[in-house]
Amino acid sequence: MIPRADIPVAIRATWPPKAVEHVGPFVLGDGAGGGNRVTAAQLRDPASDGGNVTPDDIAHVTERQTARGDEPLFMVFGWQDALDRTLAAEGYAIRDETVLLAAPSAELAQAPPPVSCFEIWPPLAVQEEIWTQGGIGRERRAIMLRAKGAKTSLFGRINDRPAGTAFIAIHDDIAMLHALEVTGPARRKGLARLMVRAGAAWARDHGARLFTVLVTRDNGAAQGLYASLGLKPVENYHYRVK
Amino acid sequence: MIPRSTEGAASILRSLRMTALAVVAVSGPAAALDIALPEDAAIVAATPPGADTHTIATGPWDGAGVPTTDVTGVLRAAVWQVPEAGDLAIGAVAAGIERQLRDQGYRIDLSCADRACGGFDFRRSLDMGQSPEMHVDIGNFHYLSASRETGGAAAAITVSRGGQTLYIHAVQIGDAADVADWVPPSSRTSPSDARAADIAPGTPVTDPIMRLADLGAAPLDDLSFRTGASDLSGNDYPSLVALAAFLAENPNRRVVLVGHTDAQGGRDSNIALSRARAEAVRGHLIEELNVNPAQLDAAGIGYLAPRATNETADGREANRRVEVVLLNDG
Repeated sequence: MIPRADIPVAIRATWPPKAVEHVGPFVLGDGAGGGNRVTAAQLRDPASDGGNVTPDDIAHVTERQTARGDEPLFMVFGWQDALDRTLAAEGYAIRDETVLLAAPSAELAQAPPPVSCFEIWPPLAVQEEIWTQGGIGRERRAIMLRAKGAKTSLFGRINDRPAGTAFIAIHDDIAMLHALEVTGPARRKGLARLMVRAGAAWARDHGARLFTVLVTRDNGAAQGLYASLGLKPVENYHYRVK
Repeated sequence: MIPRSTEGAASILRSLRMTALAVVAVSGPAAALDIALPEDAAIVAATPPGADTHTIATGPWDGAGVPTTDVTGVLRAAVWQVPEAGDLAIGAVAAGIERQLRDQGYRIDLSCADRACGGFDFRRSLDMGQSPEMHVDIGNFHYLSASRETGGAAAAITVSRGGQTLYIHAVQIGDAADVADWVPPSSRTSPSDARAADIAPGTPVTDPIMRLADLGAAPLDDLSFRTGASDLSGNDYPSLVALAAFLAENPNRRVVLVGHTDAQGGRDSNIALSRARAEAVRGHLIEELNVNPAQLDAAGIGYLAPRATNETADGREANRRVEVVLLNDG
């Protein structure tokens, strides 16, 4: 469905670190406080399984991460089992197993009912409030501003009240949904579902063949929602941390 | 070979370089290669100095391969993005960097744009930085390679564009002292300065005019026309400034501006549109750049001489162009 090597690139393009640095076989993110996904080190050659990585290479990365005040943190994709074994042997533990779910945009796409969901760029102040309440602060919103190429936010409403927000960006023909947040009182009313479908329609209209989202394996509610919409697991990654 | 009249541009550049060098002086001795970039350029990927080998192109794709040379030494690389590049043209940025390289004692081994380099075949033969931090549009990029005798130093620079974002990838290879202080991210010039330098009277004749002299014809790839429209949008065109300077210095030479379109629509309407585009360029040269009207002719041939496929958007964009053809003396 998606060539493996395109996945890390699409993640980094739609949810970009402030800058990256190449340290040996790794790309190291300057996340600027934006969380693990933009800070973790990952293999420079995304198609590789990491079989060429030595403990010294890992030490060089963590030296740099420690100097920056970041924790030693690696992002390991499902096919990078050699890297995973090396990190495990060095005493790194697994964190946040995450699945990439995907469906063809055209199959998922459905225009939302009137005044329930809007595509808006840049996001409204009320969307920023919803994100802030959901723990998506200024640093993560800065990531959305950095993303290049086609992007939008989705603004969801229930009973004529602001209730949800999300961010979508496209890299090549892959659209990725990030930071979907629905306010507490508005949950379990189908808003997330219609926002995802509206987002897929936007993605289809902007040339994205696939609609994708990253969800941690233990987020049962989100996994259920996306499964019921027909998104299927494509690949996975986890962090290794010390 | 910088003509006398470049004094204005040269003095602007000197002041830019002094600014850049002042920044370098904070961190150590003067840099071996120090390129000043547009003000909004932000460094988004960096490869710190380390022993490595880099393949540098020394000529365009020749139908079978790209002539290259492998340079081994201490390598340093970086990618910059200019997020809202507006009408900042790839050619103008590349010309500015090329001039700075020359000023620092580098010899330019290759300076070419998209199809003249070899397009896709050229792109896939070389490392021009990694996605997604770097983006190379195979129909819209400029590649420069340069070398310097001292220290065996070499550099390769790619400028490209995607949407509103301008991308610059630069690699330098040399001995350790050469690369130690290379490219302070803060050594930047303002976009207006960079443009002023590029459109200053007597700007050294760059790519299109060299090609005009060598080959007798050259595309003016920095012009932009709105789709289906014949008027030039914006007025900041280094290629036209260079062409005007060339015609002023060679009052006996005449050129024909030839308009081309993509293959969408009928033949006659496209010929009319292409001619209108060529006339618009002629008008701009006469009215804005004081070129003698007797030295300029305009013609249009619609879609009859494509230089790329009309099956893709990139190809169609490449086909919508105005070329300049040099007529024989006399």
